[in-house]
Amino acid sequence: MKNLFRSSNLRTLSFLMAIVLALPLSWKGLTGFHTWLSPFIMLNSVIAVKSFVWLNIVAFPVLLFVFFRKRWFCLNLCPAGWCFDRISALNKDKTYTYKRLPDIGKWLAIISLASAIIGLPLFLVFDPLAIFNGFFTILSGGMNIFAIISLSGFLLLLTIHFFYPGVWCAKLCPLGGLQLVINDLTTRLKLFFNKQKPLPHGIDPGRRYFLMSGIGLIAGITIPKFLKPPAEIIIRPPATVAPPLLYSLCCRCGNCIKACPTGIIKYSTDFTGIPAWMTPEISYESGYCLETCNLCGQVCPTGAITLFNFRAKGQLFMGIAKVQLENCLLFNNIECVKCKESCKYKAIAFVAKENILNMVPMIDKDRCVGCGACEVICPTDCIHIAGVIIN
Amino acid sequence: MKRRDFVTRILVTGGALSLGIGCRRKIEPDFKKESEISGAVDQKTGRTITEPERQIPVLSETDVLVIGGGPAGTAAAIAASRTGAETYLVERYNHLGGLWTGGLVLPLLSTHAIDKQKNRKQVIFGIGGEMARRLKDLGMSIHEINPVVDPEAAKYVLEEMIREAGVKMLYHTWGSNVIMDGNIIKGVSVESKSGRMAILAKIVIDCTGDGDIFHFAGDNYDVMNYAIGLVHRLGNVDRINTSKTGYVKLNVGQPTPIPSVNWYNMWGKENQDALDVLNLSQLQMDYRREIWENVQKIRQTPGHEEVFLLDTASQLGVRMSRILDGEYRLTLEDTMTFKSFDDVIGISGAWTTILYKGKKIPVAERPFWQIPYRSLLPRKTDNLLVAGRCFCFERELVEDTRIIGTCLVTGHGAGAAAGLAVKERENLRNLNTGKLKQLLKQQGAWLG
Repeated sequence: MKNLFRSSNLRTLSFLMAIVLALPLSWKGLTGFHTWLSPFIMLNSVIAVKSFVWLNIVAFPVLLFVFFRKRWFCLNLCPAGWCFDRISALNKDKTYTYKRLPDIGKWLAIISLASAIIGLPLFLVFDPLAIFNGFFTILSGGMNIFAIISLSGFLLLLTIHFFYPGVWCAKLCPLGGLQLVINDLTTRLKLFFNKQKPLPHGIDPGRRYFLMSGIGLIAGITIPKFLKPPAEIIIRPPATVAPPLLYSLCCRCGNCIKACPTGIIKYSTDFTGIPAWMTPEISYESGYCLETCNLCGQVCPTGAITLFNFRAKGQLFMGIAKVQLENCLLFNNIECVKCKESCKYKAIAFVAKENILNMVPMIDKDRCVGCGACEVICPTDCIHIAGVIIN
Repeated sequence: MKRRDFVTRILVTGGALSLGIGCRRKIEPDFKKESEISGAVDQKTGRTITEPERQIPVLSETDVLVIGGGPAGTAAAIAASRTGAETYLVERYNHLGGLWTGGLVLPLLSTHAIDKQKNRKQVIFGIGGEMARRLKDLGMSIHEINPVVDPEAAKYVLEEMIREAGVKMLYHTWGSNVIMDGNIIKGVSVESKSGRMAILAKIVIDCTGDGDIFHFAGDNYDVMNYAIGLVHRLGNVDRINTSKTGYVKLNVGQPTPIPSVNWYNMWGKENQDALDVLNLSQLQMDYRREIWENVQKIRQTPGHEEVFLLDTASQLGVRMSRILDGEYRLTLEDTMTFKSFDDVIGISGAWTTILYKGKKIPVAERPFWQIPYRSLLPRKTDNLLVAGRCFCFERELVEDTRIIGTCLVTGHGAGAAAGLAVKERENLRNLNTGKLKQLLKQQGAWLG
């Protein structure tokens, strides 16, 4: 029993748990549970949306441990770190200390948290647990090649670790960086209480800053061109936050995709809107948004999909159904009631077009939430859900 | 601890808690926004008169009495009579087959489904299958799966089968009430040109479609309002001249076995009460006018001059009304999971694509489904069986239970069960289901 809590064993256990829960095996509310443990995701989310859900609480003890034990999360819980360490251990020839590399992770964490205050957490996508969980979304199937490439960041990091052992954990990881920030805080507090002066540390300006400012200039000129919002209105899961916030708040962990019982949530890979790259999108090919389900809201660790009561789904608009009458069976006097029967929100009524022989389905704009049941069931594919702008 | 410290701590805790609760993030439903569609207003006056007590003649005392000569009633009467029971069949119109023939709803749907090996095959056999085969032999049905039949041919075939089976037929007669003795139906009183008469029977089968008999007998049921339509047929559709100037393609319905004739379906008005005769009469008049005007419009379109209205259905297309509260309520899940029942009386197939647990199941991938004997048995009345569209199932299943194919299957099952119960001198509830299954198989039914 004592052995279990030795850090290496605890982390192996955590890794095993994380990998099992990251697999798309319909874990329902537990899908990708480890993303909730990340204090980086929790702080960004809580600060950016200025509200929390009860599950956010699980990250608080982690924060507390980190406060007293340096890099407690990395050493005891991090499943990504466990993998990286295994790969790093394969490389026995080289040892790197990365003294010359700045603490990029630390700055990612600081910038992200600072920007979260104005409601735009910038670097949530670099959270290692999001990367780790996202990778396993590939197994849920139905991914296109661009999504798979985008999710392979984890594989890339594994490969990098073979050549540069431990580089992510030491210098790049924003979650690690956050822990360093907290430890700095701890040290400063200790110094404050011990009435000692802080250790002086100077800045070393030079070539590095020259290069960085150059890169910054080029980035400033080119990047805004890519950062246009997507041209089409994308259909999102219910209760998804409005776009500009969504792009940064969504950590692309794939939890919603794995949790969705009907498998309709996909990663959006639309080249016309790079900021929306890999955000959750709905496509009604195999199923529709079940009226009795709120799993995507339950598993979203960042609040990009707000937690909602499934009874509120009648007021959570995703899109609206549009009917093309030419192929409609009912319009052609063939017995069909599928759309009306499938509509759980009573948004479809059959009305006479010219006379009673020409009944056609009519969509009630106030009731239709765009759940897609009618689109899926329509035998002649004449109903499509169009996106709507959500306030 | 000082009092001020204590109060401070309480304030801090309270503040933290309220901040916490205030920041909680979850979208809850707003019930005020949800409004329900209000039901139709009951405009009946509520005035009643008392009928004087009177003696009515007993027409006959029989083994099995089937009320309603639709697909279910015809199959039930044939099955009961073939089992050896003396059987009466009461039909209010002048033909057998109900909505299938008189209602001009010509397709015999749900004849096929997939088996456990995923092969799509025919599932409806037995008396229903026999009817379909005889119509096909006459050249009066088209399509292999879900055949469309000619109504007059179907009326003829059904009547021939009734004649062969030796069923005592009563046309132009309406089952108007039941004669109860506790939980037993002693007989049914019928109305006709001969006035009111009673037919006493050991077992009654309710094949009225609207569940009139179990309603009279005092059983519990659910009423489902649905769309009511009126089908019509167009003649001379083979003489449409597509090369005429000004020709536009119009909807002229679906083909029937007779090349010059099409049948034209109508969905009709939604949410109609099929148990209100004033409503039915109004619909009948409205629909006939609409159909007439629509056919005139077709005839005025270049190329369609010779098309004419052959007939409107003699029965209004009532899709649903009462649903029995029986011993077992068949569920959609039962039909999607090859659920097997010990007391299976028949198997039906699928004719539409459905949504099941949020996923689309195309018609070609839908399994066959068993119908248990218990879902034909009412909870209260002891010697009554219910077949046709009003047997006991959940509403989600309505598209598959209200159609001709399923009605033929439940009819056959009920008729055989009644016949067996008479033969064995056994109560319907204690019927040996092993023997029933054996009998059904002898009569050609397929039970999986």
